[in-house]
Amino acid sequence: MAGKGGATPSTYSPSPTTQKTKSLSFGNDEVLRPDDREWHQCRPAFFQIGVVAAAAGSAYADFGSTKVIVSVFGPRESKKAMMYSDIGRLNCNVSYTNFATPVRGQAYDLGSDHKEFSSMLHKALEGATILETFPKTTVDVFALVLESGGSDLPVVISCASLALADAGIMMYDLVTSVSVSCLGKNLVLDPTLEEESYQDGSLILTCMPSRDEVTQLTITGEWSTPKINEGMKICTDACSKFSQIMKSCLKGLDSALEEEDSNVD
Amino acid sequence: MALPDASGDVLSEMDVDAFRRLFPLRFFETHLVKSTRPDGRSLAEARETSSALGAVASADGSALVKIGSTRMLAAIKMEVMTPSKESPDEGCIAIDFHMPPICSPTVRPGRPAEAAPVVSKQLSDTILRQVKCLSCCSFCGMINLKELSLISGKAAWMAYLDIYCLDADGALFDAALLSAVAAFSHLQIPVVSMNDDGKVVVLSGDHGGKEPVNKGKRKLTLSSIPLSLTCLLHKNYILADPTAEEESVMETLVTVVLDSSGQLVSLYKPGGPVLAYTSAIQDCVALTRQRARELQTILDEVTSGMEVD
Amino acid sequence: MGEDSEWVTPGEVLGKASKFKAGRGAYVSPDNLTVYASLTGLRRIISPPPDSPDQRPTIEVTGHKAHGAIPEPGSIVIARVTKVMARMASADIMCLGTKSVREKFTGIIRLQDVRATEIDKVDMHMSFHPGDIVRAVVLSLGDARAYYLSTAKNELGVISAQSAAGATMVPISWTEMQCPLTGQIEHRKVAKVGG
Repeated sequence: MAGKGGATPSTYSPSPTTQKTKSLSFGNDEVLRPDDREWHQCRPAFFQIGVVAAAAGSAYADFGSTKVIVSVFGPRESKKAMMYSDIGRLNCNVSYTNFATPVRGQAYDLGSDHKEFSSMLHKALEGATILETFPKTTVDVFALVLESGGSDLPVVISCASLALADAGIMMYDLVTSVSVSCLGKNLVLDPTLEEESYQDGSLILTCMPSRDEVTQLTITGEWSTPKINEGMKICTDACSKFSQIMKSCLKGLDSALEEEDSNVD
Repeated sequence: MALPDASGDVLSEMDVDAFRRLFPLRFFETHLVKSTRPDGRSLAEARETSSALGAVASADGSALVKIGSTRMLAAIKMEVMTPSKESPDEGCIAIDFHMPPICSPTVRPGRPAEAAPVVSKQLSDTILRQVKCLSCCSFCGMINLKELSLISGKAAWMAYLDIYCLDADGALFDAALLSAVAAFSHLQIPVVSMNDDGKVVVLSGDHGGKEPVNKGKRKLTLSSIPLSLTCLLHKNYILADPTAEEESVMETLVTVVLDSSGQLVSLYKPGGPVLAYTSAIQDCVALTRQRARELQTILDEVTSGMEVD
Repeated sequence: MGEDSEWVTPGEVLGKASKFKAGRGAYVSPDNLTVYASLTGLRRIISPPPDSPDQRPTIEVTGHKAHGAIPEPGSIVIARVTKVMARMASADIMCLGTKSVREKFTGIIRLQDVRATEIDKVDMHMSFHPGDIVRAVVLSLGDARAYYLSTAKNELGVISAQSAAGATMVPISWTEMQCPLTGQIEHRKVAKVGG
């Protein structure tokens, strides 16, 4: 897909690829995070629905420098190759723009489909969607990460559940997701890309906040049991906060959040 | 809705919405005879257009453009390359147009939209047009690739321009071109120096004792900016700035690109059932001339806003 | 737009299941205790009909934006015939009731579902032509590929068709339509007009 024929010369970014030069003393309790947040504080979150006119439902979310758009299409005819099904299907896809990452094209497998996130998104939403209400048909949930600033998957999941609600797809509950990184002895909520690059372990919690049910829990890296409990507690609290913002976004029909400035639109 | 035909009694029970779906051409023609369009526009009227610069923080230049519901996000990232032997004093620009699945119900993951490579090619042809004209200088395009040179024969800029369609509702090329031009006007070239390994690196605030190699060359000179308008031809009607629905119903498109001085850069009429007379083409050019002035005003407004910052 | 307290979002508690029945846009939790909303919209309580054995009122959410309709058995659809074969015709469902669908759903009309009488004498090519607009009823969700449609009722069948000359034809009987330009008669399974 190179715009200038096949003869594109090899190039490199003049920006340093890793910012190891900056000393991040995460072991130190007095030090705040690079963006001056508290350990258990989320980035300012902004949600907006109905951003893509061509879709049946859509939502935009930005958490600091993480920016995503999710479009929902359908319920529409399932692909011909699919088996007959009495219940509906969710089909999810997550992709990145070429400029999503600090260095171009660094986004996992080069900005194309992110298979792992697509499957995680599907699993996070499937349990919350009332599939029986659209038999035989498919609801497509497509996400595009405009800018990757850390905690990308949780932002995509929360944004996708808003887009589903905007499309009028019946759901048991909204789905909200937050991650924490384990950095030394600290737990860092809603980590940035930089913080994620230093993490010893990560925990992503996805839940249906009104019903207190966890739809997905992913833990990677080094964790002790008390840390896991603490991490889950922090995430659950943050999820219920996000669900309030998401609810007011759905209810306010744009008005409630209008005073906040948005970068898209 | 009164329908002047024999099966009117069947169709009169139908919702306007259903009629529009079943007989789209007749639906549009009932509007066209009254010189209007379903969205209330007159035939020659373009949709509301806006632009915002700097939408992508991690890019060196970026712009968001909206024409009606059609929305484009363009971003430029600057990388370094070794220039070719033939042109040691020139950089390069790579342009890619993307239609991700979020933008339209017709695009599915893993199956790239048919329109995307076509628009990509048209954009490259329009923006990278390098005319060797003997009368003035050796250059007449929008961007002088010599401005992208860093160290002759050793290092030059490669500008990667990626344009993403976020919402597709017709006139994709027009919106993409406008976003590309706006992104180039927003571009701030990073200040760089050569490190000990012979690599070009970005200088941080304190310069680290290094001498920058491109002091004072942070902006590209944009000469003869190309601006475009796509029109739909149907019978004797000319519809400016069509929506996706209009494009799907009436298939003959004419895209005219003019430069700042009003000269014709290119004209695309990729087939279609309507064969156009010269007069229709002239009308399209005239509409584009008017539209280019509007677009220039919009560009001037956003770029002047940027300089204040 | 009503009061804010009336607006609910998916997952919000609407009431106790012992006091309310779940209507549209609402569901009862698996433990049968609580009624929740499944859509965004206005919360509404509907009193039960006086003769109903269950005297609980129904609570529903009228979606400010419910998803587009999908075909279900019994829905009346308007479809455009795309292909006519010896034993069946394919058609794209364009409208459900009087509302258009955003994209399309594929349906098929099988030979035995074209009309109610003399089923053994039906000829698909004498019933439909590609491009015809038909009114049909959805028989079943069908198979993986298509919904099964039927035109076996007087008011169902072709409601608009073009003649070979390109004019919109006028129905002249249950089985025939005539081109207003050439006077030529073509065979169709014609829907009763006005019904």
